[in-house]
Amino acid sequence: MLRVSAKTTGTRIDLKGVMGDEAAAAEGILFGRELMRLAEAAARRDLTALPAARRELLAVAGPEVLVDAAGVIANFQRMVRIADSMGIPVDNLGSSVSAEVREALPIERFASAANSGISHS
Amino acid sequence: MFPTAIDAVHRVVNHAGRITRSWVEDNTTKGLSNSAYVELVGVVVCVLSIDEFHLCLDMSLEPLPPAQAGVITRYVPDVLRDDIGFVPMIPKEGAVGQERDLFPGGVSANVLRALSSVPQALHDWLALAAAQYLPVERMGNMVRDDARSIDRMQMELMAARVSSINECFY
Repeated sequence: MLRVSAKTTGTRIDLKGVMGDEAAAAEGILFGRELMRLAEAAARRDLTALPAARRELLAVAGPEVLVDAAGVIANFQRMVRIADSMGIPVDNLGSSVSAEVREALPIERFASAANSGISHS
Repeated sequence: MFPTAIDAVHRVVNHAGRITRSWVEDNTTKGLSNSAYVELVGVVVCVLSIDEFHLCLDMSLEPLPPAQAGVITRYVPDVLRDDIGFVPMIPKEGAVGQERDLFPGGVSANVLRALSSVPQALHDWLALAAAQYLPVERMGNMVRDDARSIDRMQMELMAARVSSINECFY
């Protein structure tokens, strides 16, 4: 969806931000570095990093952005568990966007790739 | 709660990417039916994501609501199909009759179908997603939703980072 959104808006982004590269997260995305750091700290349940990430985002973007960011993070903490608990495959595995993302990011190594018919090594 | 259910809660929260069809099937022989498993997942992930929201904002967690008296419906949709995933689901064209409002705007992505054998679990999914992320009917807007202070790229960067850390291929 990140790739689709970037294409829709004609924005140049760097997908390596998805893997935690802070400079890449900031490429073309306002507050990208801070948003990525908050998502990372929350998803890792890193209670040391989370307060700092929260403060940084609040300082640069304000409370409304912080609240909406927390909502998105919480939502996807749920979605990933629904997808993997139910073993569903990717809907559009054959699409060019899906292929681009899989080429750019090392996600085929994830165990749950097997649910989409991709065996991991 | 019996041990199989406790183990299921633990796995869903901490190791969902390692759940397999054989484990889900094996649980049915230990008293955790497919419907019970779907309902368990639906409840657990709702509570989890509400807790995660509070954690992100450094807020105290909400107390669990008290149990209420009532009759368990044990409702099962008429049409379920075992074509993808680990459990039967309502097919893409199956949101009819009592299930007509389950796939808003005709959107029947697999992540919507996932919990559909327990319709209330999907209703909870839809309500929580609308509050925390976007209503399904507005997910097609890949630019910016008027009700949000962040644009879609900002949202999807965080969504993808969370998915990556959880090693979720979907």
